[in-house]
Amino acid sequence: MATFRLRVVTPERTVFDQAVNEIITRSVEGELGILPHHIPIITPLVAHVLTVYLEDQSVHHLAIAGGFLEVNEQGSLILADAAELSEEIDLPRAEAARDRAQTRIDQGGEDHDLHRAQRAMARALSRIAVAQDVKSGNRGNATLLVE
Amino acid sequence: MAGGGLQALRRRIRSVQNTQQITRAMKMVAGAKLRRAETRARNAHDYFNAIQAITAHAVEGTSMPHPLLVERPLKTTGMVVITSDRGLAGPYNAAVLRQAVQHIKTHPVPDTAVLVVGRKGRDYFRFRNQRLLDEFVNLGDEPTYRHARVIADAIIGHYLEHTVDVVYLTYMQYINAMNQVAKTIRLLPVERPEMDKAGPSRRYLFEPEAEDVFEELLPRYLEVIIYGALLDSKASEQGARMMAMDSASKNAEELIRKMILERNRLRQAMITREIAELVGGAEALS
Repeated sequence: MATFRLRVVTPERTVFDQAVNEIITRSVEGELGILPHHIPIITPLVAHVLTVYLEDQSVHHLAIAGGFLEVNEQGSLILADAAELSEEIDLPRAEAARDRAQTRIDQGGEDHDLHRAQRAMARALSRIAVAQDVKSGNRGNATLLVE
Repeated sequence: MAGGGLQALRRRIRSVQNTQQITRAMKMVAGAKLRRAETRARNAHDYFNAIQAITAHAVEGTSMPHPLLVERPLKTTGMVVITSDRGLAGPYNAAVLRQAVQHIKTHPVPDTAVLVVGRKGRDYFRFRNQRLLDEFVNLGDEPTYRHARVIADAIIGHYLEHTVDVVYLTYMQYINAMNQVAKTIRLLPVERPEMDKAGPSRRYLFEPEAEDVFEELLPRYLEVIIYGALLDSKASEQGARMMAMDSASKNAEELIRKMILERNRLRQAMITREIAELVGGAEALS
């Protein structure tokens, strides 16, 4: 099967750089699957679980904390605010972040704060989903519906 | 009298030795900080280049009149200048400020306003009665992305309010510990790459709409450029300080060496004179 190059870059480091068969990501518009020879596209991403299908049939999940996707004939580039592979995730920390965000959402408050709390929640949930996915040995699609 | 001169010289040697101890310590500290700053700057480079590429691709393929892309008649130039909070960094701050002033002179626009990062730059422009729009000081040894965001927000705010019509950034590009280059780049309006006659190399699909993508991408682009510049500047500052302290230590070494020679000569002369006096005294007695 044809492959294309996927790079996931954050301000801290390059998290992922390999040839892949397919990726499933999530833009502000909704879920988006990219196969080789996809038309050039640029779109903002929300916090989500990125699913990557490698050449050897293995599946990887990455927690992406929002950013941008660019696809062109050279491959796909994800510019993420933060991104972690499942084994790198600090689960207790993500759970603490989720609880913090939940408290803030429960308290209500200004629209701006609420919006921020919701985004923090989405980031925390994507991390937790990716981390737990490994524990449970689940190799299926763990795409989260967070909004 | 000769004994007095010797005393003073000894005191002077001790004083220079103390100074040398301080410059040596400062060199070590700068070296350690440089390593950290350099790693941070290196790691951010991929992201920096990637967002530049995406932005260039996005901007090239569209004629969207986004406010951050539109060229306006120039009444006021905004200069963002990144300097350090502390001195003793050799020619670091002077080089950045010289480059900024040079840029203002060679790009004549009726008015110039400065957004300055770092205490050294603030003091410099204040002393010269330059109009300061914002000042950001005490960023510490490890500037964060949050700092960059605050600065980028301020720049975009001034730009959208027409306080400034074009914004340039002057910072010290880090090449290696011994080599840094003061550089000025244009931040706003975001530059469109030169287009080939054939038009853009490829047409991108924007989702949801080009407008929405730019609304997200352009402020982020600015933040990342500033973040990268802050990290580069910090690495450059530590590099410049390390070099300055290294040469200060070497100069002290040289000075000490010369003074020790002089001290030994004086001491020898004194002993010789004492012997001569003894011999003279013995002869007079015999």
